[in-house]
Amino acid sequence: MSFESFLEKITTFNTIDHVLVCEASFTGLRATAVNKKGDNLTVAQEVSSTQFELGDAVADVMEQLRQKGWKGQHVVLVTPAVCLTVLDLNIPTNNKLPIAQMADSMQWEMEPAFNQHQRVMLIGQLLQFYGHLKAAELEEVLHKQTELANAKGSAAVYKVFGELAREMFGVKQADLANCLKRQKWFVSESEGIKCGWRALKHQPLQAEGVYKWLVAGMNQGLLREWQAAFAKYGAQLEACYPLVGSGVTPRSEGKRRVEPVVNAEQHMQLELHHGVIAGVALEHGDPRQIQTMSCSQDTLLTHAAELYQLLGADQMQSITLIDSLSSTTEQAEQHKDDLTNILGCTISKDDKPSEKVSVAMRNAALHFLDASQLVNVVSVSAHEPLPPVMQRFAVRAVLAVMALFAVIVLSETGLYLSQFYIQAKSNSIAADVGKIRDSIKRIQDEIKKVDTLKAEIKQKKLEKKQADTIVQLVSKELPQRNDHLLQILKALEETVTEDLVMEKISEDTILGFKLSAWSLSEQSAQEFVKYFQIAIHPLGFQVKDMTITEETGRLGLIGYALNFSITLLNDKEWNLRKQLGNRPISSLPANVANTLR
Amino acid sequence: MQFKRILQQYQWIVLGAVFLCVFATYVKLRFIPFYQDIAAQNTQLNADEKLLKNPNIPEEPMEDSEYLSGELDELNKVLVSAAGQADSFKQRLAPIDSQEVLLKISEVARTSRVKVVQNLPYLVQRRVAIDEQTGKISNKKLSKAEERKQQQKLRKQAKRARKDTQKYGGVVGALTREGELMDKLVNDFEEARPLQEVKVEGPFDNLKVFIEAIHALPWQVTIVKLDVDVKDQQKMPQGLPQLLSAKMIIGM
Repeated sequence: MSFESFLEKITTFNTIDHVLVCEASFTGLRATAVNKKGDNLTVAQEVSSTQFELGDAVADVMEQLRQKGWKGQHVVLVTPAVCLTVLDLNIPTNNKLPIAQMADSMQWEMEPAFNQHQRVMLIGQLLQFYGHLKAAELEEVLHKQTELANAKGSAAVYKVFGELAREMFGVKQADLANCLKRQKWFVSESEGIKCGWRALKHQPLQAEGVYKWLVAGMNQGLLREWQAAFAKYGAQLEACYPLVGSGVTPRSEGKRRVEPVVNAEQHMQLELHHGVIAGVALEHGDPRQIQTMSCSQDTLLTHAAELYQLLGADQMQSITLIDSLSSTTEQAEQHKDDLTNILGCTISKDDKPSEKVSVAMRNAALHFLDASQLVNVVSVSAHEPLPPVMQRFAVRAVLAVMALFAVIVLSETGLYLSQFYIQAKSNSIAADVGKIRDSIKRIQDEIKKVDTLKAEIKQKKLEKKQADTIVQLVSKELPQRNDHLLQILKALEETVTEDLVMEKISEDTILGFKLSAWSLSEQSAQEFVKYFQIAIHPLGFQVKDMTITEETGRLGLIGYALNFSITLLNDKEWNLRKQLGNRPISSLPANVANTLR
Repeated sequence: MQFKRILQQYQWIVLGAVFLCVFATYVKLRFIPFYQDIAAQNTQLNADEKLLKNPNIPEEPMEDSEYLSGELDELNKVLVSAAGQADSFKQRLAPIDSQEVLLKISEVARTSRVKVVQNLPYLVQRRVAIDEQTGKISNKKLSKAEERKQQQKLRKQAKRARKDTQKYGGVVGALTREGELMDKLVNDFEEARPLQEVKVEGPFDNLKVFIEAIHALPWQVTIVKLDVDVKDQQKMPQGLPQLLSAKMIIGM
C-alpha cells in the first residue's frame, strides 16, 4: 500500500467495506453486491434486469436486492456511456492547478473523443444488436438518411433513423421504442461532460512538456439520471466506470499489490462486450491508445483484426483477451481460437470471475474499495471532484497529526533516552557515591556530635565559671572589699597627723581611691603619704600620682595641697585603665583587652 | 454546522488552534515536568561525578566524642558541686525583694549616729544577655557591632529608666565597667543584685562605726563605692569634729 493510498484510506477511516457494482450494457442491467473482508472480496448477491426503461431497470434491481437482504448504500456503475481515453496534455503530472481548472481542461480535451465514443451507441447499433436490422439493412438506412440529408429542394424531407428503418424494413414501433429507451441509458441530449483523470505512471521521455493522462468522461445529465434513479431506493451512486478499459490492470491473484499480468513493453488488450469491441494498447502496463467499435457477432473477428491493425499489430508482443460476450467456456475458447488464427499470435485470456460478474465489474469494485490496487482505472465520480490526495484538507490534517505525533514520539524518545542514559550512568556510580556519601554523613554526624558536646562543655564551663565567679565574689572579693575599706579608714585614722586635714576621698571603682588633703608643711604631707603607704601596702594598694603643691588652706594659712591615688592595679593596668577612661574594654585591641580582663 | 461546510481557511485556523492546544498541553503537562525531572537527575549525576572525582570527605574531628562525653559527665559532676557551693554562698546574700536589709541599714545608721540624707535604690542596666530558654546568662559572644548596638540599647533603656526613677524614686547609675564590683554584682548573677545609694553625714568616727556595722550585718552587704567629702568645712566651730558627707553605693 502506497503512502498516498494509506492517507486516502485513513481520511475515510477505511469504513467502506461493501459496494453494489452495476453493469449497464445493451443486454440490460446486472448488479452484484460485493463485500470486502480483509483483502478478499466476496460476492453476496447477484441480480439482473432486462427492463428497457432506465428507472424501471434500477427499480427492478434494487427491489430484488432488498428482497435478498442487501442493506448497503454505495453503488458504482460500469457503463459504456463512460468514455475512456488517453490524452496528451501539457499539464504536468505533479501540477498544482485548482480542481475546477483541471476539470475544465479535461472536459475541453475530452470532448472530441467523447463525441466519437457516442457513435458506438447509436440507435442503428442497438437495432442491429437486438436483431431488428441486419448489417446490410443498417447500411442502407444510413445511406438513405444521408441522401435525404444531402437532397435539395422541397421534396427532401429529413427523417430520423428509426422512422426510416420502420418504413424501409418494417421495424416494429415497440421494438424501436424499446431500443430508444435502452439508448437513453447511454446517451443524453444534455450538455456537459464530467470527467475523472489520472496521470499515467510511465511518461514518454521523447515528448518533453507533454504528459499522458488517462481520462474518463460521461455526460453529466446522464450521470444525474442514474444518480437519481438509485437515490430513489436509498442507494448512493458513487462513481461510474467505463465498460471498456476498466480491465486494463487485472488483478493478480494471491498478491496484495496488483501488478499488470503482462509486463511486455507493447501489449494489447482486446475486450469483447455486447455490441462493443475495444482494443487497448498498453506500454509497460500503461494504456497508450484505446479504440472502441460497435460490432455484432458476425463482424466480431473483422473488427478485432481491424483494431489489431489500428493499434500497431507489428509492435505488439502479446495479446490478452477479456471476453464478456461469451456466456460459456466453450464459446470463449472458440473466440480465443478464432482470434488466434486471424491475428496470428498467441492470445492469453483473462477469465470472468463468475458468470454474472465481468472483469470490468470486478475491477470497479476493487478500485472503489481499495483504489491503491488498480492504478490504471479511472472513474467519473458522482460527487464533486476531489483535489489530489496531498492537497486535501483531511489528508493534510492527518499528516499534521502524524507530524505532531512524530514530534511527540521523538520528544518522548529523546527524553526517555536521556533519562535512561542518566539513570544508567547514575546506577554505575551509585555504589561508589553511596559509600562516599555514607562516609561523609558519618563524619558529619561525628563532627556535629563533637560540636554539640563541645558546645555543651563550653556552656557547662561557662556555668561553672559563673558559679566559681559567684563563689569567688561572695566568699572572697566582697569580704576582702569590706576589709580593705575598713583597713583604709583605719590607716587614715592612724596616719593623719595634727598638721594634715583630709579634704576629700573619692573612689573610682576601677582605679581605686583618690585622696585629697591639705598639710601645713610639705614634710608632714610626705610623712603622711609614707606612713599611709606603709599601712595599706599589705592590702596590695600602691600610691600613684602623688602631687604636693603649695596652696592656701583653712583659716587662710599657707600650706601644701596633697593629692594622690591608691590602687590595686599594677603599673601596666594602671596606665591602660587611665588611657581607657570610661570606654568599655572591648574597644581596646583584643590582646590589650585580655590584659585587663 | 458541519465542519466540512466551514471555509477551508477557517478549517485550517481551527486545526491550527487545536494543534496549538494539544502541543501546548503536551509541553506544559508532560514535556516540561519530564525535562525538569531529567535536568534534576542530570544535575545530581554531575554532582555525583564531581563527588567521585573529588570526594572532599571532611576530616574526622580531632576530638573523640566518647572522650568528650566523659569530659562532659565529669564537668556535670563538677558543676553540680560548684553550683551547690555557689548556692550555699548565695545564702549569705540578702533576699532580693526583702526590705529588711534596708531597715537594718537605717537602724545601723541610727545606732552609729550618722544622719541618713539619702537612701535610694541605685539602678544599673545589666550588660549581659540572658538566654530566653534557660533563663541563664548567655555565653553568646557579641560582635563589636552587636556590642555597639547593645550599648545604644542600654543607653536608651537607662534613659527610659531615668524617667521611671523620677516617677518612683531612685538613682540611675552609669553603665558599669567590666572588672568593677558593681558590674559583677549586677551581671554575674542570674538576677542582678540590688544596689542602694546611701548618703550619710556625720563625723569620721561615727562614719567608721557605721561602715563597720554595715559589714557586720547578718548578710553579705558591701560598700562597692565610697566618696567622702567634708561638709561645710568653714561653718564648723573649732573643737568640734568635722562633719563628713559620705556617699556610698551598697551592694546587697
